[in-house]
Amino acid sequence: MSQYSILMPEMIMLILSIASFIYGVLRRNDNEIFFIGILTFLLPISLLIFSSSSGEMIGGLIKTDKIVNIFRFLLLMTGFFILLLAYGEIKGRTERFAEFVFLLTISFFGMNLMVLSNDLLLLYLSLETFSLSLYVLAGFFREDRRSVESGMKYFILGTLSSILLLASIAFFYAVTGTTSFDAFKTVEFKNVTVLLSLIFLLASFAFKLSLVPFHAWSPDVYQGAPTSVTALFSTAPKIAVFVALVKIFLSGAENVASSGLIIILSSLSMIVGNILALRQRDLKRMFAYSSIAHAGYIFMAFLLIDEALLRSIIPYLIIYLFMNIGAFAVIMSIKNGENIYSFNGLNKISSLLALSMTVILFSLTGIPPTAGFIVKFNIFKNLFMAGYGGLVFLGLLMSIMSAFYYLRIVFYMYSEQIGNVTLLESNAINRYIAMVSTGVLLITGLFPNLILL
Amino acid sequence: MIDFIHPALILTIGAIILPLLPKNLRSPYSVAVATIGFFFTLNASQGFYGAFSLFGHEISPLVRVDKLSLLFAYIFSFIGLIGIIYCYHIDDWIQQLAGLLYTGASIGVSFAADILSFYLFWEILSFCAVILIWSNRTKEATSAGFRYILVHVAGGLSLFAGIMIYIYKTGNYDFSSLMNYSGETFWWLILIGFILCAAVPPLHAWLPDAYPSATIYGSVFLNPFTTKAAVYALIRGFPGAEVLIYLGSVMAVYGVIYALLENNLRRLLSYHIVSQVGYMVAGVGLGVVSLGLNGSASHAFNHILYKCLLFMSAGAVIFATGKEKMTELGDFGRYAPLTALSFFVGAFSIAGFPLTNGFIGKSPIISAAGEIQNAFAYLMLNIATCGTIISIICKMGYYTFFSEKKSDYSVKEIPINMKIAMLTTSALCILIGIFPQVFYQFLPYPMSYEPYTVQHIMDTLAIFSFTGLVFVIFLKKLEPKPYINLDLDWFYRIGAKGFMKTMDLTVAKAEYDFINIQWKKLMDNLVIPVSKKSAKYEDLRMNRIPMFISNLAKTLSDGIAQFGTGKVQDYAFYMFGFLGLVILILLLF
Amino acid sequence: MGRKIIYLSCAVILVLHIILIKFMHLGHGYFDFEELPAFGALIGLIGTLFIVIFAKSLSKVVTKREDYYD
Repeated sequence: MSQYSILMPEMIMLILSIASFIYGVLRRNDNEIFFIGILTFLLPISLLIFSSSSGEMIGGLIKTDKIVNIFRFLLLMTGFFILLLAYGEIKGRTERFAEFVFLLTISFFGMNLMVLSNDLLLLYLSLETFSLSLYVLAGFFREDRRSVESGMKYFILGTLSSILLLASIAFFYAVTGTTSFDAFKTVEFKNVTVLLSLIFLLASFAFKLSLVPFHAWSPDVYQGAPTSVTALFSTAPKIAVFVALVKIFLSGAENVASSGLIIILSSLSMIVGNILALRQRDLKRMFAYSSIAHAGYIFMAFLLIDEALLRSIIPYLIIYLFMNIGAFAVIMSIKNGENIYSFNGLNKISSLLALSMTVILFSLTGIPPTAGFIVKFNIFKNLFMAGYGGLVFLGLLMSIMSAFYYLRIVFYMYSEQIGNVTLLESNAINRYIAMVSTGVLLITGLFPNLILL
Repeated sequence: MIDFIHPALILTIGAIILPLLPKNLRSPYSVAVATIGFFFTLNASQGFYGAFSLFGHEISPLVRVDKLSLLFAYIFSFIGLIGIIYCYHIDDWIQQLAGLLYTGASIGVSFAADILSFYLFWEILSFCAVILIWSNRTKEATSAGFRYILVHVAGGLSLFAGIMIYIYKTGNYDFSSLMNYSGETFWWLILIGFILCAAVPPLHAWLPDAYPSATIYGSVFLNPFTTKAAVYALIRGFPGAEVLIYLGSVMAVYGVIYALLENNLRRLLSYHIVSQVGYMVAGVGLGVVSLGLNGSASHAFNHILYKCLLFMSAGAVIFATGKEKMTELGDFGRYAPLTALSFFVGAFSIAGFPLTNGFIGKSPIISAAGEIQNAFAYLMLNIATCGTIISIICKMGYYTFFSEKKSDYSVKEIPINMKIAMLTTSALCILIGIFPQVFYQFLPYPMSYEPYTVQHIMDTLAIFSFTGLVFVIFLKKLEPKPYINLDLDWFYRIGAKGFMKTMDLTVAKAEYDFINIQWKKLMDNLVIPVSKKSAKYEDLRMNRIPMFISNLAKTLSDGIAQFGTGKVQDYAFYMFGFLGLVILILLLF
Repeated sequence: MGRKIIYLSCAVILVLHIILIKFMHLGHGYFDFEELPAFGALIGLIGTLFIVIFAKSLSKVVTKREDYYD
């Protein structure tokens, strides 16, 4: 039994989410379901805090260490925040709140499992677990044509990427006879089959990370899905996939000469993401492109190896999470918040909310003294030291360009015109989430040693 | 298990919590904090503790507890407790907070093993002192506080520069004897920083300027800490520096001469601090024999006791009557015999009468001067004793507590807590005086010394009686007069005024009448027209660059946006097209 | 009254000092000049006179009215 102690938080999550589903379908009491949902996140969180153990188990299928535990914790926190965000939005619009909470918790169960996994097959299974839930979540508003359409698009393209991943696993197994990450250490990378396997793996991950040219689904899906689900899309799956990729790279895949592919994917993502974000009036679409661009910045870090990779990628992921959750919390606390014109004159209605949105946008742009500057600078510095000056230059150029579309919102918020901003009073908790993230961004921006490893 | 808890930590944290408490809890609470601090100091065992790493420099140890630092820490924490009891009845948390912090910082100074944390605590000392001066909340106190902080910032900068050069030159952070580097620049800089805080003339004028300006409770706190911390620093850093013998001897006499002229009670006592610290500084200079260093330490310890006693009695007089000039007092002993008793215990102690702690405290210093055959120090220190007797016992005692009443003052009841503080300290003064050997075993260096020899007692008694004789002869001449006496602070008080006046006449005039007019001409005729021209040029040429970039971005954006068709089959095509391209390249090359 | 006590104690101590130190040799000084008869009394007298006179002459220069600095 003791060997399962590592998995304890995830097992509790699974049991509680199934229980909440059964209970919810029978009782249909939204508040009670919400309460159980919160428990589903908070119990594993407390378990993780008080008994975080590390090690391997079940024949090496699962492997944790300190960093993985940090991300398990962060993913659960994200889930908690997203549940809070979703409560106001989903509860009013549909009767099927129990199903929503179940899908949400199950998807986070899958992501946590993915972060833990040390085997390609388990990786695939956990990826499918959360992908299937996310397909349904994207089309959750069945009355809304765009929501259904986005769910369909995501499903079809997602299946294609799953096929790629399966193919990659098959190739890998054909050469090595195992699916464990540990095999990356010994495998011969000159072999074409192995190379193909790695390319397919990267392609399928690039789809989940919405890297150009595997990105085209994301703006449509982000726009169509419920806003809380969009917040989920832009944070948790990316973090889970990035952490899994880091684990694979650190297991030995970093020795492959894949730098050309990484450079192309990341520079394309930065260019396309930033340039297309410029023309968006819909904030959800804009954040889709912005998250493409950010995925590009983060993906650059895979050019580095070992310690440098960890040191540049982990702070960025943590800060990225807070930035996006905060931004979506602000969007969701304003009526019609996905329209940029809804922000017109926000400063007059609630200067605190405007201030926190300003800090979050500054952070997304990478302007000191926010944490966004620190982590971006950190990645660029490490890449520059490793000799990728040209790529860093491109990144800087695109960061400058990103200032246009991020700061446009600031401009609207502080404009003198009297707009028609209405705060959603039912979602008062969203404002607190925004302020918490703002605090995190400012504090880590002022004391960067808290976040830099 | 932590084997050492720094009392300064307890006092500092305790002080910070103080303002959060309800009003009626603050006084008992601060007494409790000071008591706990005192007990932790008593329980501190000798050794080295703590380490710290800064910018890659390892500083270890941070805390040094040995006999010398323990002696000073005992008396600092004890007198902090006495001071807190003395101000139990007031409703002013700022003074209590500053008192606790002040106590903590001085304990920190005495326990600091490395020179950086020493400097940190050293600066907190002057900070607390200024708070105590300002808390009197008069115009005079405000300006005295500013003068205090300016002088101490100057001294602190000298010390800091010295410390930095010391660290740079030697590469270590230890705060121990600097006598190996005698004569180097940083040696002098650090020495200047120390003797400024020890109020050695000509750097002493801040002391009689600032201490009388504080509240009566503030001066009880101010008196022991800064100067005695400086004495500690001198014992630690400059044992046996010969220059200190002469500075200290002159200082001891200088202080009593000014004290004799003074009319203000606390100003008189402040000049006595200068004089008494003179003994200690001379003792440090005589530290080539351990008798000198022991004498300095024991004199500092006992001095803190009786000097606080004197300040507390003077404070009681001021509290009861609201007057602090001898020309307005007189015959006070009739109203408050207990205060008079405490005062005379303190006065006889400071003068060094046998059976008081002043006698046993300072005799090692004078004997050290004799032992190394330094006649100058020996004579000067004895003359300073005469001056102490005539100015404190005779002049201040006679004209405050006896003689005839000089103005019509009313007398308030003195609170019980002030009496407790005064009586406890008086008892301690007498007890230490009667049992010197018990006290001597706490001194930092081993010695066998007997203060009560026939020669010594007879000399002292003779000095006392003949000084009394002179006083009786000059009784009329020595009567206090309502005047003030200028000291070296004249230079910076009047100097600053003169400087401002000169500035008004020269620089300000030049600024307004000449530079501003020229500047305006320059702006009108050259800068504005040129900038207008260049702005026009910029409109014409430069703005094209951002325009071009934004147009480019728009074109690019329009171009790329063509791909976002919204059709799933197109999206799938991009993915697989790219993948196919990559595989093709891979297979071909 | 007070004056008489002081005169008397001065005389008694002077005599005692000379008897105890000079004739009975119950102590010794550090310096040669301490061998003078009743050195303690001497330094008490001369030292105090020095201080009083010095202070009085100094006060001619430094003593000012109380509103000097205002």
